[in-house]
Amino acid sequence: MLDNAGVTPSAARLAAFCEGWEQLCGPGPILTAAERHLVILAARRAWAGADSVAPDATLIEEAAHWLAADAGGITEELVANFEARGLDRWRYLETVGVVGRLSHIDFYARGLGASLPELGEPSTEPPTGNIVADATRTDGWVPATSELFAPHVLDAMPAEGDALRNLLEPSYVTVDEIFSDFGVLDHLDRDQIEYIAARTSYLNDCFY
Amino acid sequence: MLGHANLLRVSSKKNNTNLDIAVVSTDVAPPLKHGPELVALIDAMTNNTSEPPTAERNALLAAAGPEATDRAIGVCATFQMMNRLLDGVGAPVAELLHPVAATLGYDPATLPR
Repeated sequence: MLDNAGVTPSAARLAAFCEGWEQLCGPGPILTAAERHLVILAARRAWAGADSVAPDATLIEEAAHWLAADAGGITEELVANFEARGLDRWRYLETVGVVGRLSHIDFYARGLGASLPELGEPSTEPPTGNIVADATRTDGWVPATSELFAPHVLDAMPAEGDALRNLLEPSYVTVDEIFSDFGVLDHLDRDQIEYIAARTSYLNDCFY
Repeated sequence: MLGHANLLRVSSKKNNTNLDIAVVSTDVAPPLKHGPELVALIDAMTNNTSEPPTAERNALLAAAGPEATDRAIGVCATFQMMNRLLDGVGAPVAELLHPVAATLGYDPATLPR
């Protein structure tokens, strides 16, 4: 993967990319691999320019479309509407996690000028069931193990939380370094790195 | 946006670059090393989700080299991920960041969460 990139990725980022993609494509805590593939395809259709979801889209595909295309426009009312129609908060949380991590994979590949990784046949292994069963809503809309803090928003599903950090840390900074002075990384200083973070978030209307 | 604009302010103060963080929410290139190339690449990656940012990537590559370009693309990709996660789960904005919102031109009372 990434072998046709216009810029060679670092070994650490390439390893995280490959591991992250493999994890995304397999069964999750609640969703099957086939369902996660549907989420991936729906998000990619949105990024390719689809204005709306297909009339026969499932609820996870509908959620994936909006998370990919306009996450800043998602409201508590919309999430409650999904729930009323049958998409419970756990399945919604896993969908958020898949679209989020897919964003890292696809935007990184596209940014480097490489092909997006392709889906194979989904595994028929069942979901892992690995959730923190007593997680509850704290200050957000989904089950959580504590008040929501960026690197830990998926921790009610421990393997999903680990997968998030495995993508974040080689590309940005380690979780322990977020509030420290880490100097220069790959010839970019902290001003440049935080400008990229803030500017990307501004363009995506993410105020957090 | 607000958390990292605040980290940019802290970093800029430490580095004595005295950057006006309002530059985050304008279309003016930031007064940083490779600022024009960085903003062009970020904007292309974020605003065009179906095509690779070939010209913008090559411009940063020529100015800053392959390691910096790979890291810049990785940071932008990371925040494509984090933005969708945080907005998807309904993570609220900390009240202590409201002054940063005002600096960037937003009325804190109208923030979505």
